[in-house]
Amino acid sequence: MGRDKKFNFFNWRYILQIAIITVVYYISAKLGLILAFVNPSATAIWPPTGIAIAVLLFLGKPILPAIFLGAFLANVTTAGSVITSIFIATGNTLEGWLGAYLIKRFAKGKKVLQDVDTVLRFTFLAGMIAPSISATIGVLTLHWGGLLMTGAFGQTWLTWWLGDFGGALIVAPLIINWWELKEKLDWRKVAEVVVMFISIAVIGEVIFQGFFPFAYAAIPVLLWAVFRFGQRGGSAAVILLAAIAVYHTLNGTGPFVEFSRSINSALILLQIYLSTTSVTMMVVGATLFQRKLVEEKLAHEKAEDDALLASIGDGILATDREGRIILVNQAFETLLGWKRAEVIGKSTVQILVMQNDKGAYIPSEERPLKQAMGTKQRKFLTCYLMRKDGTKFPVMIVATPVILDGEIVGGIKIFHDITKEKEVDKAKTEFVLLASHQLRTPLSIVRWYVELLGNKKTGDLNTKQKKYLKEIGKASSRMSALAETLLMISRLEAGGVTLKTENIDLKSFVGRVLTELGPQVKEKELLIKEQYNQGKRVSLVTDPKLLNVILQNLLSNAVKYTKPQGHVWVSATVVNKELIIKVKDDGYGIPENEKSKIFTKMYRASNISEVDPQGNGLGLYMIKSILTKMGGSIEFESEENKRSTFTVSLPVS
Amino acid sequence: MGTKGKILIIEDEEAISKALADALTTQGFEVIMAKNGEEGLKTALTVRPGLILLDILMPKMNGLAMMDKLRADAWGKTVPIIILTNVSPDSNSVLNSVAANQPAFYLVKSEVTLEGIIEKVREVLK
Repeated sequence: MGRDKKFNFFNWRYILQIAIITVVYYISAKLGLILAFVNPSATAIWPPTGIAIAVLLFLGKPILPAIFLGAFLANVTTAGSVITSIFIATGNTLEGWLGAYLIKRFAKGKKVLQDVDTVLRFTFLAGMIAPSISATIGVLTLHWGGLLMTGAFGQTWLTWWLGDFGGALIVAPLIINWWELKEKLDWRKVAEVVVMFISIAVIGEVIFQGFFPFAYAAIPVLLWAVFRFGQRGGSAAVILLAAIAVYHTLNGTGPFVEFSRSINSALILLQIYLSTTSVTMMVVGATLFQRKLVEEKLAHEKAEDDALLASIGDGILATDREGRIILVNQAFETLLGWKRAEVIGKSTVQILVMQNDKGAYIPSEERPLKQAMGTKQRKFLTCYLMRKDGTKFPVMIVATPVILDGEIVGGIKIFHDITKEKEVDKAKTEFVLLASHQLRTPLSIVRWYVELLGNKKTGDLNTKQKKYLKEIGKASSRMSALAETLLMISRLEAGGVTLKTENIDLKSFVGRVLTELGPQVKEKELLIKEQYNQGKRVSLVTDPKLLNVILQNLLSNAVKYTKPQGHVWVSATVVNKELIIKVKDDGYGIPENEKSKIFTKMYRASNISEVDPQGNGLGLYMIKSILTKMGGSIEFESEENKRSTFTVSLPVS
Repeated sequence: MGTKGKILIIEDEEAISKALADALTTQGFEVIMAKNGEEGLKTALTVRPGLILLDILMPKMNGLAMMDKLRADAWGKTVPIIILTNVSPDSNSVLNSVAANQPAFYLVKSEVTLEGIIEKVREVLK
């Protein structure tokens, strides 16, 4: 006690506590001892054990003196000497302390009655272990004090132990349950409590006055108490029943009297009955308590899930396996204008009207959820969705099948409003459009005036002027080409390039590109070899503008990066609706360690930046982007200073 | 050389229209100029040229809108038009207008030379 710094012996509150508990313990002990038949000190009903265990559980060691004092006073005023009373009181105190300690140590302390497992531990530790201390010390004291009849040792010990056992299992739960009052009772509950207690009283009277001596008839009303009012209701009901039962059993009526040789053995039977009932009710109560905890936890988790679902910005919809809507979130309601109650149970086909960007309805077999359920894979669709009021908005739909044990049990759709993205796309495209116009116009002006200046009809220029004009012409052509390349790239990146296919003649198409390169080929004295499908003329359908960009870039690279008098081979063949273009040269090649980078935007291999400082590193990047757009591909093999071969394959029709 | 028909150049960029006019007059064509679609439409309907060289991006009324209005006129329905612009023909609005109004050619300025333009003009006026 002295170790506890906060503890103050002369604390009025403490003194009052000691006084009250001493009195309560003393009175209950005296009541118990009235029922002592085997020995004045050993009784079949001993409520103080329950009081001691419960009080020590909540108030701890400081309250030990009250227990000791109460027990001592009750014993010394009943039978025996001061010495025997001290011993017996010590036994009672130790019993309480041990019970409380064991509960704290092994059965979750004050929460002992909240779990079935700890209720059973409580039954064993507080109901069976602790009372054996008191019974053993008590009976030994009586024996040494000469207060025990010869041969009555065993029966007295058992009576003592059972009395404490009952006290622990019937009284302690009541105190533990009611230690803290926190319930708010409304009048309806109060009414129910009153009716319930009257029912228990009536049934108790009926059973124990012997009208209907079937002890377990009380169980239903006790269950009522537990189910409706939890552990508190249960322990209160058990106490009420116990009081009635003890009263009538002492008066010689009820189910336990009939078969007993004495009041004491009847009380012992009653004690066993009441303890069993009490433990049963505690187990039921603990089970219910756990269920309530789980329910609360589930409710809490559900609330969390709901909050999560509600705060997601994208619309969410869940369906059963037939495509009937079973859940939508708030964002769905806002996005589509449908209220939850209007769509639940309906088919998604009824609610979700999908159109493509041309306003045509999307056929049911192309709808993403149907596809997802059919293939068991996640499906995406960008389309327009109609709101309840008939207005449309662009949306990205992700449909996922919900699969449980390999079977589809439903589907989930997520709707992401892409109105903003569409606007940004449009703005980007418009920007490229305007930028292209603004860039091209001054370049056109320069080119055309160079052309006019060079025209004989404008007037003659001298040789020097002609030379200068040629340089201006060359530079402006280069600038135009660069501008076109950059515009093509920004259009490709912005997704603004649409394929426009035409029928072309392959051989003459390639021939035209080669003709354009004629001057450079002639200057470097290169040897060009062409190869096409043998026999008949091959015509195919593709986007001529894009094909031109690909060919022009591949061939001009081959021409640029081959040494004078080198070779360039070009082959263009169509096999199985696939156009294969191979451009091979015996030029500078690509260094081994740079091969992975040559399709990167603005990347130029180190060995050619000196050969041609004018390159911009955009050609191959552009070819690759165009081919991605057209569904084709490009590959290459190369050896530095020996050869390079670029192979393009492109689907055509 | 004689007049081979009046050519109406509708173009807001003066340097462009002057270059075109010079190149065409040197070749003996008679040229009239307008600075935007609105002015161009008015001139076209009064002068009734044999060919219209039409830019697209212009103030007041753009070339596409002008073409729509021109085709609504009884005479304008059939007058040959060469679109000469720096707008690539890949947006829907351009493609739809071209499909509806059937210009003789769609030329992108940055891709053609003056000589090439004159060739096309000759082809149309032949």
